[in-house]
Amino acid sequence: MNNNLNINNSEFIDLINEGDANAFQLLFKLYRSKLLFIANSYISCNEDAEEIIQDVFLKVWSQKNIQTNINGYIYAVTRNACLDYLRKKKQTLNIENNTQQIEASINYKAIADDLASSIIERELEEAIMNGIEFLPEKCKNVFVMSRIEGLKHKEISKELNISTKTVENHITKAIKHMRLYLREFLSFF
Amino acid sequence: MQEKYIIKYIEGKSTLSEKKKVLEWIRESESNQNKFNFLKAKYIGQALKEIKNNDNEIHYRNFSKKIKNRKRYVLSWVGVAVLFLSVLLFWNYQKINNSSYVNSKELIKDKEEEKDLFNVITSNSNEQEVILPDGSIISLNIDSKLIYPKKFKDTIREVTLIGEAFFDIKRNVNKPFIVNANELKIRVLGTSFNVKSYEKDSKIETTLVTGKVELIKDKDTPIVLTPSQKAVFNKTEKKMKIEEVNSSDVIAWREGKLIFNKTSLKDVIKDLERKYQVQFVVSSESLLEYEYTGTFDNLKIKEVLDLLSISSPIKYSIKNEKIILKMK
Repeated sequence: MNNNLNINNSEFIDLINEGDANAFQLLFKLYRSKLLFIANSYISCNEDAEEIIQDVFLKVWSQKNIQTNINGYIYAVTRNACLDYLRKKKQTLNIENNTQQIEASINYKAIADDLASSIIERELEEAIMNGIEFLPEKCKNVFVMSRIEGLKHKEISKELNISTKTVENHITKAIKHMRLYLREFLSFF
Repeated sequence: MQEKYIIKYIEGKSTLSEKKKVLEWIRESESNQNKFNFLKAKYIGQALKEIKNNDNEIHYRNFSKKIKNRKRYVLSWVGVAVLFLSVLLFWNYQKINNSSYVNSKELIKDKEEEKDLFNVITSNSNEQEVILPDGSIISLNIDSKLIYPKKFKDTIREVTLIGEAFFDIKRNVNKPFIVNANELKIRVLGTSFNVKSYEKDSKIETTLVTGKVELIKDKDTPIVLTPSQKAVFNKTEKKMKIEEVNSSDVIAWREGKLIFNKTSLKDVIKDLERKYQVQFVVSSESLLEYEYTGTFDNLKIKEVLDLLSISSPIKYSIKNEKIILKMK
């Protein structure tokens, strides 16, 4: 697997926050069926699960301030929607010993379990990464970690004992220099 | 409890009795519940790897339409409000300037005609299929009446039923389908279900075949049905009861069959009287409570009576064109 690809790539998250339609479409296509599967596993009603997932994406669409972990965010929205749904379902039917009610209660506890839930969150991220591998090259690019991300600013500045702003400037200069160098090199031909 | 049974339940592959045992085990202790939580999460995690993205393209198209519609909806709401206000003002202006009063009865009549409602009524000997403006299909049983509009409103699809019908409703998340059955409102999104709401019966029965429905009575908490569940609303006691049924038994009437499963003779007689246009006389109270189980597959009334007398402790005799039932 290509270690340079990451769903939590900050440029991608920026695009989502800006309301970029293409980035959002990509997010939708990567996540929809997997989120639906998770929701269905706990609420056991496909019609309702589809509604829930639609609401999840509507919420993500209108959210303009997603932080560094987009996978965590989208999973949390889904999980909370399932919890709300199951909380209501536990109370809906007033018949004693009704299997539906019992299962709703059990599934509520199952998804409320933080440890169990974090397993799913982790596996979801990994499955999504695999999904990115299958995207056409152009789409993959938005997930490529930039050189700046590859080396966190703090780590570099600590090593060299300079401020992070200086690090950025250095890298920007280096890239500019490289561009010039390439242009010169290419103009020979 | 062996892990393999829990896994089987999580995968949705257990039998009814296995499932009950697993549920019992989970409810026994918190540690059992925790173990279940973990196994379920592990299963889902593994299964996620196999989930493909193939259908997502189509769903995205539907979704992006929705986002666009949202914006437009706000505008049109404002437009309607403005229109309404201007019509109101104009009407008031007319009223002030008119010297004669409008007959209130005429006003109501005009309103009804504007509504453009269709009535479909089946007699005591025919069934009828109705196709609604949105493509949904309703099969009316005998002695039933369906009232529906020529054109559905923008936000809901609403019909009224007196009698019995099988509904096959086209799914539309934006426009719920509502059946008015006497005191109940049955709300669906897209699904197939059977409603039995005859005036003479003491109960209103709703059976879900596929999908999901919600039963609403006044301001009470709605009751949700899942497939193969039947809700029986008792009109006199004003109480709702939910049963698990074999839904194909309940809609067997569409094939000319009557299927009874521990049905009280009182109810059996009602269905027979309706289908065959006969009258029964049963003097014994206890006989009315007798629970009958059996199937009448497109039989003539005499065959039904013979079958009844063979398969149960009931004997029949015919006097003055009425059928008298007695305990043997």
